[in-house]
Order: sequence, then structure tokens, then C-alpha cells
Amino acid sequence: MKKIILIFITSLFIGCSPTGVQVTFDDENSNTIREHLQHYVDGDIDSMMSIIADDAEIYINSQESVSASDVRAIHELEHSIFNGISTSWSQEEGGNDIGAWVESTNYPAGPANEPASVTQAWFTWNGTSSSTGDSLSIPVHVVYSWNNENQVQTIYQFFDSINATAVIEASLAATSE
Amino acid sequence: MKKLILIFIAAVFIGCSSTGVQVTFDDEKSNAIKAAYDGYLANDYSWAETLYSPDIAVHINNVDAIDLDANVAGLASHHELFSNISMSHPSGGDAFVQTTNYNDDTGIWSNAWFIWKGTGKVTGVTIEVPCHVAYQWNDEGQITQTWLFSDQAPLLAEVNAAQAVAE
Repeated sequence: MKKIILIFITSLFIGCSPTGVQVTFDDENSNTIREHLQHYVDGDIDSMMSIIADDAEIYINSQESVSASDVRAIHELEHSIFNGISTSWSQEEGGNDIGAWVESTNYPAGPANEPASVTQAWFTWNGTSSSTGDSLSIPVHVVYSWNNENQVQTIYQFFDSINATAVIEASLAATSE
Repeated sequence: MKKLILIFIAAVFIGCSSTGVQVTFDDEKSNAIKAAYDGYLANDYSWAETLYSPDIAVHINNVDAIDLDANVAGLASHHELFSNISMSHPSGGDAFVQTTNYNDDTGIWSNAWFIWKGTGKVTGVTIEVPCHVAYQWNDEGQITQTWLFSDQAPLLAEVNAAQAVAE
């Protein structure tokens, strides 16, 4: 009897993540971010930004943040320049395109950190300049950190801006001619 | 007795992540990546052929991949362009690395976040670039693809300055 109890207690610990970190895919936060990305693709910036706290800090390839209103202006500019904006992600080349890989992670409190709830997205951003015809495909990673009011309080974006900047500048120049 | 067994079986499932995903930090794979970072900082790439699969696909902010040799050449070029290179967590300490075992077809991925910092040898300008790298492991314990997500614009400025001096 004691052996059985010991075996099951052992299996309890072997079968579980020792770090206490929980990763989920079909949860409320993950699905909210999927909708957020779809709103962006659709050019519905109001709906897209509705989950972002007014005082959110948004880090775009930088350690200095910009505001939610700054980001709104950036996304509106993108939709004024690019047609056919989409996101794409597939497990393997030529595989089923699910738009973006989205997962949420809850990190428990640790010796040096507060508990944290984040949702992460990985995708390729696609768009074609309506004035120059240049097409872009840019791998993007975004981390969304949630506050206690179920709003996004902090965003970290990682992507290479070189090609996007070049196409945007060329597009603006073409439309001003 | 049967009730006891049922209780413990239930406890096993309730106590675990419902998705079966396991995240670790101080594990063998996360530590192998941290060791590779130490090698990179010392401009030593002896780890590459052990850690990387021979047919690795390295995506440097691009859907098109480069191979192992091109990746190592690119990493080494950082040391030609920059001094005092470091990779650190924004709140201090080393790069943050975690490994996620999805326990399904997605496989095992390690993810790293860090601030890459270096001082341009031509311009003297110190740049700090937030970076994320995702690494997928194969069944042989080697990395089979990597994806770097970071802005290359600050590095390009140093490359352009170096080329201008060379011309």
C-alpha cells in the first residue's frame, strides 16, 4: 500500500513541469490576440487598439517605448501604403498556413520576478506597396504583457526595419511626385 | 483502494499543464545555447558543428535561410565591426533562455531574448539592439533551424561606415 502511494506521488512530480510555467493556446488571451491581429490585417485599427491600455508602453525594436497613439498612427500609415496586408505562419514550408503562431504563458513568481502573464506571437508580415508594387515579407515576433484589467500593458516587437523603411520611403516619395 | 488510485490519477492530470507543454530554464538545451553565446562573445565558433545540424536553416530576419558556414561568417563579422560586444537581459544578467517541449509535432524549441550591445570600430557609436532568437531541436539533440528577430538598421549603419572608410 505504501509503495503504491509512493509510486503515484512520484508520478505526480515526474509528469509535471517543475518550473510551474503554464503554456496555453486556446485560452482567452491567445484568442484575443488572434482577433487583435485579424483586426490589424482588416485595417480595423480601432478594434485592434481596443485591447491596448491607454498608458501602454510599446517597445518597437528599442529600449525606449512609444505610446499607443504613436502605434495607432504607424498602423494607419502602413494601411495607407500597403495593399494585401496579411500575416502567415506554417509549421513547415508549404504547410497549413494558420496566420500566426500564438501562445500564452503564465510565469509564477520567482525569487527575482513577479508573476507574469504574456501572450506571444510569431508570424511573417506580408504587404505590397500600392504605389511602387514592392512586396515585403518580414518575420515578426511580438510579446504582449497583460495587466490585471485584461488589457495589454506592454508590447515588445522584434523585426528588421530595413526593407520596410526603404519601401515606405520610396512609396511616400512616389505619391508626393 | 480503487478510489485511492483514481484520486492519484486525477491529481496527476490536475497538477499538470493541460496542454502537456513543459517549459524549462536551466536545462541541457538552454544551457547549450548560453554556452554558444559565451563562445560567440569570445569570437569562438567551435560549438557550431556540434550544436547545429549540418543542414541547419538559419533565418536572419528573413523567410529565406542561410547555411551554417554563412551564419558563422556573419557572426564573426560582428567582431570585425564592433568591440565590447555583450548580450544581456534588459533587467541585468545574461541573455534569458527558455526551452519549450510541446510534446507533439511542434517539437522542442528554445527561445532567447537579450539586448545585443557593441561599439562600432569605425564610428565609435555604441548600439543596443533588442533581439529574439528561436531555435528548433531535432531528435538527435541538434538545432535544425533558427529564426532571428531583430532590427539590423543600427548594424547596417556601421557596415556602411566601414565600407566608406575602406573605399
